[in-house]
Amino acid sequence: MKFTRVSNNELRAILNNACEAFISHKNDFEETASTILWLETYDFSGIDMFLNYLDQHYEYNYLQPKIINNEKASLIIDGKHESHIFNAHLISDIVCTLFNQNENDGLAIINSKNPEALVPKLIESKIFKNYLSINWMDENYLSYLFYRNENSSNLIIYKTDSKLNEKYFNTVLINNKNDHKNNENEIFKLNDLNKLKIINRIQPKHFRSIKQQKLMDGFYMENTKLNKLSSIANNVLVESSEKSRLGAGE
Amino acid sequence: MQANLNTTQSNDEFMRDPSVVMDLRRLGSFYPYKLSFMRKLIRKIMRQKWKISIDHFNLDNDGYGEIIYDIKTPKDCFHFVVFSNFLDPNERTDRVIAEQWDITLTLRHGKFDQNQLEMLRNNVPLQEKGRMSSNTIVLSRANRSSRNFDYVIDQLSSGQQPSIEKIKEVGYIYRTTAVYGSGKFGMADWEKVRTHYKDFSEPFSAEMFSCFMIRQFSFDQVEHIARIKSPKDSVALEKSTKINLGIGNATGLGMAPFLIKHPLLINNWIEKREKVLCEILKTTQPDENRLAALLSLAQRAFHHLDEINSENKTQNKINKNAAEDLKRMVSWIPKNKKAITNWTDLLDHISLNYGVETQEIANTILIEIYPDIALDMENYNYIDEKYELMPKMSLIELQNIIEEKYKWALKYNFKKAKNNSVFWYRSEEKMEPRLGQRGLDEGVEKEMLIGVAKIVSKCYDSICTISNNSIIKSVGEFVFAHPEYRKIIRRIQTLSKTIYGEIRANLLEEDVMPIHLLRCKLSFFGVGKFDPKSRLWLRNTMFQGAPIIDDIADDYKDDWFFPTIETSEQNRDNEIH
Repeated sequence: MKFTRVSNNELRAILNNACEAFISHKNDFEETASTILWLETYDFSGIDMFLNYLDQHYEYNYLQPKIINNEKASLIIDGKHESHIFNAHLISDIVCTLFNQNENDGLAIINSKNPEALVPKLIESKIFKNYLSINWMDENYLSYLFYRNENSSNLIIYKTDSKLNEKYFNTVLINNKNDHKNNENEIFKLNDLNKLKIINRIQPKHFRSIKQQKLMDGFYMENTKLNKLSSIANNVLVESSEKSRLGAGE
Repeated sequence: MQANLNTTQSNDEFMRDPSVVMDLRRLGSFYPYKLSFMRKLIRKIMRQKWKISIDHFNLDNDGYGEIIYDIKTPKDCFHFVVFSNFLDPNERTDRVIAEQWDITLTLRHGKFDQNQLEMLRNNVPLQEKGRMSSNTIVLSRANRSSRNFDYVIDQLSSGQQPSIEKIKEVGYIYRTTAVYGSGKFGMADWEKVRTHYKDFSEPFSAEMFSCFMIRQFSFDQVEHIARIKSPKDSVALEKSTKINLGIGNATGLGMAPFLIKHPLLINNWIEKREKVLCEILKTTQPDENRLAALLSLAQRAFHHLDEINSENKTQNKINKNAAEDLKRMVSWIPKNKKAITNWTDLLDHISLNYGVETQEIANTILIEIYPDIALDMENYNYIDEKYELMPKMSLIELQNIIEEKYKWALKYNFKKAKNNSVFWYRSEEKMEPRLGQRGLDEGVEKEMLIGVAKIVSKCYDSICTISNNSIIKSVGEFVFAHPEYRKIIRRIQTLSKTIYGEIRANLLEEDVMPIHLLRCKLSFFGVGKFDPKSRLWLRNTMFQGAPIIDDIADDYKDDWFFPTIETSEQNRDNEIH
C-alpha cells in the first residue's frame, strides 16, 4: 500500500469539501467534517465511516432523530439508524438544551449507528461536565468508553466483550458517572467489567501526544482512500470554461 | 457623508461604529498602517538583527539555477530556497491557474542536506502539483516584470542605475502570483508554525517574509546577470534604488472568501486598528509638533498617491480626488489650527468635507504620528477561531440579536434580481474562486456560502414563522429541526460578541465590488500602490521603501509609511503646490 502524508489543515480542507459536496447546505457540513477529523486523529476510523456511508447512500437527506422520552431520569432519542457522524452535533445541541430545561442526567439513544462519532461533540459541549461515560452494543461488541477531563487529564478506555443482549443492540447509554466501577447503567450491569477485553486504551499522556504528533507530522493516508476522499471533495468544484475564467477577472 | 465617529455599538464613545467601519467601500479605502504585518515584520527583523546570507549560489549566466539563503534569527534557523527556470514569455501570466513561472521558492525550517535539496528541486517548481515536507512553511512563485527585468539588467550592465521614472512606472523586478502557507500541499500546519516556529507566530508573517526575500533575490539575480554580461562596466544597484524597489503582487478573488470565512480574525485586525485610533482620540490633543508631523505625512501621502501608475480610470479618479482632498486639508489646517483643539473635531471636519479615502488616510496618519500608542498594542492577541453554537439560547434572544446586529442584512430584498444576481463558486482550475451570473452561468448548485446577508435573512424569516405556541423555544431545538441554519446561527451568535466581525455588504448583488475586500486584507498585510485591473483583481506593490537586508545591522528608523520613489529626505522637504 502506498501512503501520502497530508497536513491537518489539508485533511480538514478535503473533509470540509467532501462533506459540503455530499451534504450540501442541508446540514452543518463543517461539523461533520470536524467530527470525522477528530475520529481520525484518535484512530476511530472516521474516514472509513464516512466512505462506508457514501457507498450505501447516493444522496444525503437529513433524518431528524426522534425524541421518545424526555423525563427527568433519562432522555431517550431514536437515532433512526442514521450515522452519528451526520447528527452528533445536533444530538449534542438538543441534549444540551433539554438537559438544561429538564435537569436530565442520562441519555439513551436507540437505533444508533457509529456511536463513537458522538464522543467529540459531547466532550466539546461539556454537557456531562468533566466526565463522559458511554456504553453501546452492536451485533458484535459491547463497547465502553470513558472520558475524563480533570486537571488537564484525558483518558479514553475502550473495551469490548462478546456477551451480548439483543435487547440492547444498537443502543447507546451515556451519563456522567465518574466512577465507572459503580456505574449503574443497564448495559453495564450485564457484564463484569473486569472480564472485558481492552482493545484500545488511550492513556492520558498518549491522548495528548496523538494530537501533538498529528500536528507535527500530519496524517499518513493510504493513497486509495485519499484519492477516493479527494474525488468526493472535488464535487464542490465547477467545470472550467473560457467563459468561467472571465469570472475571475481575465 | 458619514460622520467619522458614532457611539451606538461600543461602550467606548471614541470607538467608531461598525456601520461606519464595516461598510465595504470604506474597507476598500484602508491603507497600510503602523501595525500592518509587513511593518511589524520589518521591525522584528531589525530589532532582533536577523542574519540573512547566501548559503549556496548556483545561477548560470542567464540567472537560471538556484540560490539558498540562510536565515538566522536569535533562536532559530530557516532557509529560503529559490529555483529560477527559463519561462517562455508567452507562458507568463499572473493568474493562479498558470503552470509555469520564472521562479519558484520555499521557506523551510532547520538545516537540510543534499537529499532534501533534491526533493525540493523535484517538488517546488511543480507548486500545487508537488508535495512538501512538514518543516516547509511557505511555497510561492513569482514572475519577472516584463517592463523592468531586462531594463534593469541593461542599465546595470552599462554602469547605470534604473531611472526614477521607470521605477515610478513599475516599482519592482518580480511579481508574486501566489503565496501558500498553512499546511497546503503537506507543509507545516499553521498551528505548528504558530507554536513551534515562534519567529513566524503571527498570521501571514512567514508569507510576508518570503515576499521580502523574493525582493532580495531579485536584487541578487539582476546584479549577477549584469556582472556576467559586462564584468568591467557593470555596477550594483545603489542602496537608494533597492529601497525604491519593492516586490509586485497580483491578487485575485481567492482572498475574498477568506475574509468572509474568518470573521473573528478580521474582527481582531480591525478592532486593533480602531482601538489604537480610539486611544489616540481619547488621550491626546493636537499641538504644534503633532500638527506639523501630520501635515508632513499628508504631503507625503499626496506624493505617494501622485506616483501611483494605474490604467484603471476609477482608481485614478479615486487617487486624484484623495490627492486634491489632501491638498485642501494641508491648506486648511494651518489656517485653522487654533480652532483644532482635539483630534475628534479635526476628524469630524475631514469626514464632513472630504471623501472616504481621505478620511482613512487621515486616520492612518494620525496613528503614525503617535507611534508609542500604536506600538503599545503591537503584541499579537491570538484568537482561537471557534464558532460554537449556543444551543440553550432562546429563539427570541437570537431573533433580537439578528434584528440588532444584522439590521443591515435584513434590509435587502432577495426577491429582487439585482440583490441576488451573482454567485460565488470554486473552479476546478486550482479551486480558483470565481463569480457567476445566476441564471446564466453553470455551477449555481455548487454555490459557496458567501452571501451572509442572504443566509441571515432566510434564517430570520424561518425563525419568524415559528409561532409562540410551538414547542421550539431554543436555538438547540430550532437547529434540530432546521440543521440547514446551524452554521449561520453559530456564526451570528459568535459574532454578536464582537464589534467588527461582519462585513456589511451583500456580496451577491449585481454591482458587488470584491476588489474592496481584497484591498482591505492587503492593507493589513501592509501592501500599497493598488492598481486594480478590474473589479475582481488587482496588482500592488509590497515592501517599497522598506529597508534591505544590508540595513539590518544599522539603527532602524521605522519610516517607510506612504513610500515615495524619491529619497525620503527629498520627500519631507517637498511642499504641495
